[in-house]
Amino acid sequence: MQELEQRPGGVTGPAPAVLAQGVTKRFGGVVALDNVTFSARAGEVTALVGDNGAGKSTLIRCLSGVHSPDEGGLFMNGAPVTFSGPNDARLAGIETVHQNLALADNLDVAANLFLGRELSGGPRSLFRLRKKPMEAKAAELIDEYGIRMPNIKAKVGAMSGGQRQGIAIARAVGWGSEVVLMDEPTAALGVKETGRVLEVVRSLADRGLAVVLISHNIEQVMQVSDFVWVLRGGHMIADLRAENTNTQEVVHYITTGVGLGA
Amino acid sequence: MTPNMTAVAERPSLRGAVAKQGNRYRDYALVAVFATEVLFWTLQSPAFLTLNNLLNIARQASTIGIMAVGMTYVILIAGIDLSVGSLVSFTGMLIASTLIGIDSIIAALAVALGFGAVSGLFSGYLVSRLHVPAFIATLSLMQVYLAGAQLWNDGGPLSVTNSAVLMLGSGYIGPVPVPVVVFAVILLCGHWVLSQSVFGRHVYAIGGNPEAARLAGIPVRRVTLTVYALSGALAGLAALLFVGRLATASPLTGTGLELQVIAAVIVGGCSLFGGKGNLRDTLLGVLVLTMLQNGLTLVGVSGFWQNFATGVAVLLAVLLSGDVLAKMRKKEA
Amino acid sequence: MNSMFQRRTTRLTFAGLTASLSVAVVACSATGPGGSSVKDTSDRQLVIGHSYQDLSSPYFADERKVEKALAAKNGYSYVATQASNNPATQLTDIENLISRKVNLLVIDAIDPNAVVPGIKSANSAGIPVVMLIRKPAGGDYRSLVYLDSIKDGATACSEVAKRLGGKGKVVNLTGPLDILAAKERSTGCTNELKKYPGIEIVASPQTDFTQRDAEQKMTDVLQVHHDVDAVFGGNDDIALGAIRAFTSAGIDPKTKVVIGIDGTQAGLQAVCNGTYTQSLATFPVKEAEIVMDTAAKIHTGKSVQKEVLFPAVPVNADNIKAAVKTAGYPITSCPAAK
Repeated sequence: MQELEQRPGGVTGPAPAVLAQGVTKRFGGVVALDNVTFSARAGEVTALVGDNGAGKSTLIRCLSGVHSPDEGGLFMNGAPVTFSGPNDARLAGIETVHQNLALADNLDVAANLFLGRELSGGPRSLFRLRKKPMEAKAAELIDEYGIRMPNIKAKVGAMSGGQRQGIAIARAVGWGSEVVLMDEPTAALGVKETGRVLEVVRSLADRGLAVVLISHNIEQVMQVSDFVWVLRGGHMIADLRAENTNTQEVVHYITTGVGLGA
Repeated sequence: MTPNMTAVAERPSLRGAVAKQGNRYRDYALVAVFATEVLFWTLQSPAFLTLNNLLNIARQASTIGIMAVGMTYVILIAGIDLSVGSLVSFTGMLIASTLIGIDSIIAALAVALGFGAVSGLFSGYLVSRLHVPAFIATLSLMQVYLAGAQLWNDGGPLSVTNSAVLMLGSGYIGPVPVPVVVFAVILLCGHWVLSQSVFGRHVYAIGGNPEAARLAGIPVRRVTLTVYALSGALAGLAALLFVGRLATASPLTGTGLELQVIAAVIVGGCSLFGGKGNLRDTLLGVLVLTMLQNGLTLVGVSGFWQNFATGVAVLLAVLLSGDVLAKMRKKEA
Repeated sequence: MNSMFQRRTTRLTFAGLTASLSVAVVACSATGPGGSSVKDTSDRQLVIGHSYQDLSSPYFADERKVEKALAAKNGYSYVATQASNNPATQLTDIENLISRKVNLLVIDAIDPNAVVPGIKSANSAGIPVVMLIRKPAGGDYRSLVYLDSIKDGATACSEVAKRLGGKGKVVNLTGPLDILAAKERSTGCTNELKKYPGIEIVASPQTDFTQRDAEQKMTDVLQVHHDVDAVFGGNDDIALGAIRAFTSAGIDPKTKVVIGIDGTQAGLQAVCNGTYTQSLATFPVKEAEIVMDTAAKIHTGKSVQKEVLFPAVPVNADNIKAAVKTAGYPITSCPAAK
């Protein structure tokens, strides 16, 4: 177990919040990830980019406990971890904001924030929901994140894209997570809302979280990220410091597999 | 520094405003329909609003109602159980045979609830683990139970004489028929679980977004099994009540019941796509349809008009429910 | 497994075996029973095909049971189909029976018009046809064993009128009116009761032929009409449902006149108990016997009556014991028997 770690690019520092090392994942005869290494540090926005089918979703699912790697391992803060399901990952402090937000449209904000983790009086009360504490906490989180919500008891399905995104993010962050995986957070949003979400992404990292950002939009990625990792055909072909590269080069990596110049 | 997402949520939602209106409209519509119908039949027949007839309606509504409680849970998770009618017939035969061997209502109750639950677990297993569409799985079981009920006694009925069972189906507690009391208890318990317990919340979540529920760590398979087992067990209980009412178990008792139960749940505003509905509304749906049958008979307009009326009621309910309004909204958006 | 088939010789052998097996199967079926064109059929086994309307009713279920037993006793082969009251399904059933090469076809027609193509197909295939219940609108048949449901309804309700002394309130609980037998029984009854000015039919609710539905409808009717004197039930199950409704409403069914049609075991048991006044029994046993007898006659070339009325026998406390014996029902206790 190493506290200090040699990072590619020649930078040393404390162990990453999450590290996937030598991960291989196969589905039937297809190799989705081949000996992939990826890491994200606390306080940084680490982007994961690549073309469709490159394996981004698979890697994220390995990190969030949906899939188990066939080979290789996961580490958090230097210690090895294994996840047998999404619950384990969440307990370890990894939260995901899915591309489709994974919200139950027919339930209200509090129900969504506490989905799968409902507060209840336990067996003695026949697992009665403790609605007031959940609603209070929901109001608190909404307030803390400044999401404008005229009616907190409304069903989530009736809210705007921005509000729903806000709820999904608040849910991921509000449980005291260390690592937040965000899958295409701006895909369904308009220009103005996108800008705001990117601000949020940056500020999450400033709070000390390790933010992993998947996006197709390289321009956006370059705006907010500290590091950019490129997946291509199941292989991790590059990990770049954002300040040392640009949109053009990243796109070149994605499409051709190589960088620009020396 | 707390991230500020105010601006993210800025755009006021027109969709939200319309949705709110729609939901309110739907809630009031059902109560209005119920009230209008009571008024209508009262005017049509002097026999309608008598205590005797109201208790009669309540009793008739009870057996369908008990099954509708289970069906509500199933439809809430976007499932369906077409086997409940035939299950009532078959379980009835089982109950009658049990009573011939062990003349005890406890034994009959055990068989009724036990077999119903086992049948439900099997349906649930087909649906949740083998991924057989609920429609197919329960339709097949329906055929099996239909045949089973007829084969049981060569197509013939079985007589039942156990006084406790007859009391359960035909007796009274004061002025109130026993089945009504049983229904009330089931309804209240079912309503509490659905609206106040973690399990109930999970049922709604699975109906609303099964993938989100799974990702959130909700035990989707376990909930599905439980829900179908509940539907089966309640059908078994209804079978016992029918046997007690008719003093006979007949392979034909459950004929068409699954459609009546599903119709009641739909008229009560439950969405077939899951996630929307509640037991208070299911109760109203059951009463609306039971009153319809009763009223038409009282007035002497029976026969095919009954089928017609029920069909129209279900159609109206689906049109007025959120589903159609939502689809229309989506088109405009 | 794969490696085995990769060898050419194995494949050829397999193909050869399959071919010879197919030829053998075809040859056997071609020369088997039903494949010969011998005119005198008495030395071939009798294969009877019976197309039922619906086997969920106790009446038809009982009939089939007896026919099966009689066929076995006489060494006939017997196959029954049921069409769930769907005329289109019945046509398919008939075609299937013809394909199966029965040499006698018995048909319980759901619809006298819709069944005609089926009869004609049997005619073309040279299979003799025996029709049951009602006369078809066309086609050739050797014998018709028919029920006169209108007459049965009239007979039942004239008994109702007689027992009421020509005065009283009657409920006509019918079966589903899209089933001809139900409709005819109801029509027969209402036409008969029109002759008695003192008798009023206060309600005519339609049921789905089940006891559950009849009990519910009768209970509803009793809300409006508190002093019903008699009930005519479209079948025994309906009558039993009405009896149950009386009991639950605190009315002793023995004080009312309840008359129905069918003669099922449950019905006769109720007559034995004294709660059921009378059932017009068309004993499935009797019908089965007539069918088998007619089949044997046709098969051995003897002549048969073109039209045979299948009698509906009124069964009440006076003759219940004899009726139970005829029907062969295992009824042990019969307190109301006179």
